[in-house]
Amino acid sequence: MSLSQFHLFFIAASIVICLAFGYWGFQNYLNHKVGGSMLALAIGSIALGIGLVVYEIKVYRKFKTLET
Amino acid sequence: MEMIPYTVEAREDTGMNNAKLGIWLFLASEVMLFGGLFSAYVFLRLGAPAWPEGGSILSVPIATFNTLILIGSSVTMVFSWTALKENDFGKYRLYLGVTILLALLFLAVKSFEYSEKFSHHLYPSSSTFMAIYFTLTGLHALHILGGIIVNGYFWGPGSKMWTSDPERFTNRIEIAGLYWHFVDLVWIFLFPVLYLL
Repeated sequence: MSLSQFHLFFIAASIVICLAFGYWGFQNYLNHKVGGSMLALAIGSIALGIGLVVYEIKVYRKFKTLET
Repeated sequence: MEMIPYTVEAREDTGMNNAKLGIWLFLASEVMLFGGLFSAYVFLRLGAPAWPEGGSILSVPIATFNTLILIGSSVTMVFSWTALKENDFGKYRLYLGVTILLALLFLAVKSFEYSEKFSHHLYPSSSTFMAIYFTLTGLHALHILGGIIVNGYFWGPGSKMWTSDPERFTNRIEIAGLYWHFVDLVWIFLFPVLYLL
C-alpha cells in the first residue's frame, strides 16, 4: 500500500470518527449529560466530517493526476 | 562500494521496494504492540466491577483539539510528499515544517493535559483506568516524538539527498509519511476508546 492509498484510508477513518463524535455529542446533549459547548463541538465535528468528504474526493483526483 | 539494491525500484518477488517492505513489516510489529495494549484495555474493562466514563475524568474538548491537530498533520505530511513529486522543494520544506510544528503542538497540549491530571493527584497508580490511559497515551506520545525526530532530520540535514538522489529522497519521505499516518491512525482509535466510551 502506497502513501496515497494509506492517506485515503486515514481520511475515511477520520470522516467516520468526526461523524461518530458529532452523533455522540448530540446524544449526550439531548440526554442533558453535557452543555451547549459540547453541542457546538458536535456541530463543528459534523461540519469537519463533511469537509473531509470533499477533501477526500479532491485529493483522490490529485493522486490520479500524479500517477499519470 | 556496492549500492543497496531495490531502494527505489520494486522487487519482482514482493512487488515493492525494500524500504516500503521494511516499513510495513515494522508497522505490522507496531500493530501487535498497540493491539496487545488494546486487548489489555478490553479485558481490564470487562473484568472491572465499575468503569468510569472517560469524559467524566478526561477533557473531551482538549482531546478533540488534539485529534484535529493530527488530522491536519497527516494532510500536510502528504502535501510535502506530493510537493516532491512535483519537484517543488520549497513547498516540501514548508509542509514538512508545518507537520513538525503540529506534532510539537500535539505534545504541548498532551503535556498540559498530563500536568492537569497530576495537579488533581491523578497518577497511573490512582486507578486501572488511569493506568491504561497513561500507558496508551504515553506510548503514543513517544511515537509522536520519534516521528518529530525523523521528520526533523528529513527537513534539515537529511534533505541534502534531494540534490544527489531526488527519487530516493522522495521515496524516503513516503516511508516517513506511512509511519506518520500509522501514528495518527492509532490516535483515531485511542480518542473514542479512552475519552468517549
